[in-house]
Amino acid sequence: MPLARRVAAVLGAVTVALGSFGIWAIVAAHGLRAAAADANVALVDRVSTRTVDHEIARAVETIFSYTYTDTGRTRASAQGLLTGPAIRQYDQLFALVERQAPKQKLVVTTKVTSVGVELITGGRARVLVFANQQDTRAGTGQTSYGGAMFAVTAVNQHGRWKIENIDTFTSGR
Amino acid sequence: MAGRPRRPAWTRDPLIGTASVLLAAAVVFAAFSGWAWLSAPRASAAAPIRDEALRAGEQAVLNFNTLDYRRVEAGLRLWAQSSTGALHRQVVTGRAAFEQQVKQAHTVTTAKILDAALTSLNVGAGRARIIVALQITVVPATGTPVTKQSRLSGQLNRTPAGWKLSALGQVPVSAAAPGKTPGG
Repeated sequence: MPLARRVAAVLGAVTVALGSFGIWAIVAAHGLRAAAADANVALVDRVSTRTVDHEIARAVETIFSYTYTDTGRTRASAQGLLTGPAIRQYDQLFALVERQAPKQKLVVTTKVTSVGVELITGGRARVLVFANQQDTRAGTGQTSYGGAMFAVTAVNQHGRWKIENIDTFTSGR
Repeated sequence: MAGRPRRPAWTRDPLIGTASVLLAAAVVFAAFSGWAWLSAPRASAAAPIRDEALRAGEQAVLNFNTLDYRRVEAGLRLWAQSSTGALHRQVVTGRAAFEQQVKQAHTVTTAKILDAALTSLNVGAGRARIIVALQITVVPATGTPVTKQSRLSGQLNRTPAGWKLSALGQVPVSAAAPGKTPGG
């Protein structure tokens, strides 16, 4: 009957329109999610920026502060804060510390003065760190101060940010 | 033949039945995908502003650490253009005296940014803070060039002409104060 056919045609047209919209929306949603996964949310996502700030600052202060009477404690604390290339970098550095510190009776305290997050994407972050270091020789009572600057690359493992690489800007300049 | 009123004949056409089922499915599909699209994460509007503040801040810091005694006027003009607020006033009032100093010293200063990052950003107020790891090379009139690294901290303000430095200084190396919070 012509009426049924006309009504069916209208229903069909609406179906096609809704279906087209649906397909477009699925594709658009997928595109948005893909872009968001790569987006740099440093300073834009205040919560994760603050978390990265705190965890990296604490980690830097922990791994670069030690006392000649118990360098093992620092080394042990550092294990849970490092991953990847940083483990090897730190091991090399700390081997020196373990040799020198007892000889010079060194007590080293590192305090982070500035942290700037450049990048937070997915589970990776890159941070610029300024830190002040105070070296005291227990034997002579002498204290010296130094300033350091370095870029830290970190990865998020099981909810904790771990240092993966430390760049002290000394590579062949 | 007096019976109950029946639905019009056309509504019992199987074509209508099929079309209705398809339409219902399409409605459900459109509703679901519409929701997926609406609830998908959107790119932040603040991200490009952050990127621009960092870029402008880096350029301004570079400008402030670049000066050639043979082109002092142009150099200081660039300093004035890169600054706003208190820093701008300092540049403008100290200009003549500084020009003389540099011309007499015959130094050429160039800089290279090793790394830089914003430590805070307030898009609404148009304010940001920046830290820069800088390498500076000073070529004196006689003698060898000196290269050193410098830790700089600056304040940026958004003006109609873009982000500019309102303060710039070195981060001091001082006794590590207990309880000092990171974040510049």
